[in-house]
Amino acid sequence: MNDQNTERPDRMIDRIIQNQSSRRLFLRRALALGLSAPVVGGLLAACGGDDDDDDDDDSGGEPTSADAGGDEPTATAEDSSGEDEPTEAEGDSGDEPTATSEDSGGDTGGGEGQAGGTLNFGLLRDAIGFDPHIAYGASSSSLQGNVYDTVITYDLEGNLAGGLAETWEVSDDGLEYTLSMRQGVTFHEGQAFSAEDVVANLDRILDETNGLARRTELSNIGSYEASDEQTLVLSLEQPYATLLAVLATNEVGIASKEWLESGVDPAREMNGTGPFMLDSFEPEVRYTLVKNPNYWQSGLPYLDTINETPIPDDNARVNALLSGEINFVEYVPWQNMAEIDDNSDFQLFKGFDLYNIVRLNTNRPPLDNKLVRQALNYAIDREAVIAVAFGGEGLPMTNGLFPPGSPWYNEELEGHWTYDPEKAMSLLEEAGVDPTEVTLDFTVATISVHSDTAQVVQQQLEQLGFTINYIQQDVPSLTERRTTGDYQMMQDGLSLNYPDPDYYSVYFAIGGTAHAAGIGYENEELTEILERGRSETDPEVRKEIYLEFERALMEEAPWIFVLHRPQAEAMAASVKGYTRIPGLGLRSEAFLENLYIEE
Amino acid sequence: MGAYLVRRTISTIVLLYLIITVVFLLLHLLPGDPALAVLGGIDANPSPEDVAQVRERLGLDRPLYVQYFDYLGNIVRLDFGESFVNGRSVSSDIATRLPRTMMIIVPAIIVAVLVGMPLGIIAARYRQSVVDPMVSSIALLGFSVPVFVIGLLLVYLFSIQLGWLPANGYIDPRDDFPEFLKRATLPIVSLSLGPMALTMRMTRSSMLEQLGLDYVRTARSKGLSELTTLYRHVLRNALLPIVTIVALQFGAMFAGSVLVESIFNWPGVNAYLLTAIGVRDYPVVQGVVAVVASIFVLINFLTDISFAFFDPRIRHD
Repeated sequence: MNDQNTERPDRMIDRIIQNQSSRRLFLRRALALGLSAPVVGGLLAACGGDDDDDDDDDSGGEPTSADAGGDEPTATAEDSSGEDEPTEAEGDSGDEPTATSEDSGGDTGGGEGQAGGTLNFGLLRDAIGFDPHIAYGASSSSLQGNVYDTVITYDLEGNLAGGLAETWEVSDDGLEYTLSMRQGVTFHEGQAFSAEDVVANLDRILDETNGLARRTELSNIGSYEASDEQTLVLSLEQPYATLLAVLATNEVGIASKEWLESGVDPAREMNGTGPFMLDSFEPEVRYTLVKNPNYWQSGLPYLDTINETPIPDDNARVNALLSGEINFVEYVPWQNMAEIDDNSDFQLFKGFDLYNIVRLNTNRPPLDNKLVRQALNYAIDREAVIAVAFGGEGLPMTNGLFPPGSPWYNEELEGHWTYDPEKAMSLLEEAGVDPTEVTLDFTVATISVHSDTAQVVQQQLEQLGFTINYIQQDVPSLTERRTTGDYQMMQDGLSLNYPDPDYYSVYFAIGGTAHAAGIGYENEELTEILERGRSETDPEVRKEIYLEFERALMEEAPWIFVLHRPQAEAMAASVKGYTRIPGLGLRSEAFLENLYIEE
Repeated sequence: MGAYLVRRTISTIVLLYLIITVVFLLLHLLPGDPALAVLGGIDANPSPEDVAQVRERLGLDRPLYVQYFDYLGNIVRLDFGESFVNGRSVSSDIATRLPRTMMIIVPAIIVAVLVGMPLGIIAARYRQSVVDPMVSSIALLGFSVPVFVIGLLLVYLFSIQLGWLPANGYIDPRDDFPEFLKRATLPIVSLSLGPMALTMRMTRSSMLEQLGLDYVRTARSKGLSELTTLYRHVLRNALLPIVTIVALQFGAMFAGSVLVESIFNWPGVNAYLLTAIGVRDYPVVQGVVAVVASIFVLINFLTDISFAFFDPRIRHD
């Protein structure tokens, strides 16, 4: 950000949300303020596009994105993904900033990409393995997601679109999905793709002894079969609105049936249908992908080669980009965001897909009283946390879980949490709790994106009179405590594994393994709302349900809602075609077929 | 000499056994379940059944003493098992990665000695002039600035500003030797500065100590030139503490190279260890510590033996 930037972008967003003025106005102001294009891009991607209905008048001729949640039961995807033109000229939300940008950073609009070139990609961590059904973390979506295709995928605006399935239909009762597979698709090792391959992959994931990532979600499918070579029929016992979003996750990549059955180790080899093929690798040193000449989207991919190098050290990763060693880097530390963004040799794509919260153990007094938990939420000056812990690069979580820009964002909840120490004190009084007599254990991981936040939160709770016992833990120790519920308060950073609010079931529904199970949190109201949301197929009704969910959640306040954290990828100015797909955040790296190098 | 050798060999073996045992116990006492790391680490939200299944697969459900004897038995056969995380053989991963660490440590030691010793000699010889304080304060700087600060400054200057050398990364010297050299230069330089300063100071003080002794006066009075006195007599006698410090530095270099490997993204054995600790990959941590500790102990052993060889007084300790 430039110094002369007098209005903070997050405030701008707030204002725009209150007064749905227009994103163009925002854009003009932002540019006038000297924000360079990619930042505006990141912000717009965060606040724009999928603000659904209210926003349509502003988005010109773009295909409506009101259904971005992706539950439209009828197939709408055939054109958007089957097209030969990979450039998203019609896309408004995702790449609007680039279309308008003065320095043409990240410009993808309009022209054809140039074939050829090498992308040297700096990864946060090693890929560990290649299994298309294991979750190795968002970082490996650049490998899994580019070698393997999924049955369902996303278009560049974040709408569900056809992947290996060209079209799909959902019966009126939401119980039967008929997916029609693309023809003429071949795997990298030459096998022809058919619906049988999908069946084999589902079999593998659903086999309990394999312990694979999306088994729980996919076990909502009652039965499935390939009715012919081209057609897959999924039958459900009750409607499951999240099914297509789950099928679109990187952990449901489709490998060849014949290949899987031939006894290969899918963690060490790859054979997908995606735009790139695994050429060679040396673990923790380099993974080389090469162009798949037979990719089913003709004209794609542009790049000949992608070299992915794990560079775990933040400084080393940024230095490798700045010195020209690599031309694409993920997980830009917030400290470097402004520097890279201000440098015309580079572009920055930023979003807010992660958030920092404090888990509260609802079974440990005084946190068993929801008034106390609410009080803690009012005791946090979120702007101050953002300023101190992220140099101003963040969005306050004043409205619950869904950030502006999410299809599930609920504007009417904006400003629910305010910084109001007096209210906090009166809530504590009502609960009969004197903070000066209470010591709260606060468990925090030794990673700065967590601990920086935690230290400010600690200070603010101490101002209220609490004594905070700050407990530092390395990540494995913290993870163990989290799983066993051995904490009173715990700093954490989270993101959704797939952009559907049903994912919150793993946190808040009874038995949810990511939060509720550990501390024995059993809230029937939240569980019931989440169940309703899962079995409702009408997107409009679902949105209402998740509004209800957020309201109930904030009343319950099982967490301290703190901030949406900035996350960014950066690349050399010559790298074109990258889009941070709304809702996917870092997982946009699974779409490298659209990238090209401009000579 | 024979009895001394036997005694030292036995104590070395006992030491190694203790190290291996302590590492095992420490790792298992440390909180943090490897099964959770295997299931996705900080992003993990596995069900208890998943965790139990992974623990069983990794053999972590067995009693601790069973795991311990299993581990000891394997180590004797130099088999460190397979990584919990990626299933690769730890022994072969160490075999790949240890040489890469050596590729920066050994040249760094050589550079440190080749530069540090002459500087120390010069400082000692010109003790009365401005040369000594100059050299000494440069050495002090080299010794007190942390290796990662030096590393980052070098990257900033030579990679980002001047663009002469790559910022980081590794290339197999068999694939492209000149490129390998380019990439190894900055890590070697960063790593060598500390030991270089230490070698210089040690050389200087050891030489000065010797210079005050009677035999030097004798040598000078019998008409030997200053150079001959310095190199043939003083340096020789001053060498023992220098050799000790260089040998010990070799161990310290392993510690220093943890940071250097991280800053320069050098996929050596220390980067391997660091990642493994972060995910509680027991076989990897145990294997690397066992190997690195053995090297360290072995170097000390050889240093001691060489002293005994050079200085008969030590044998009768």
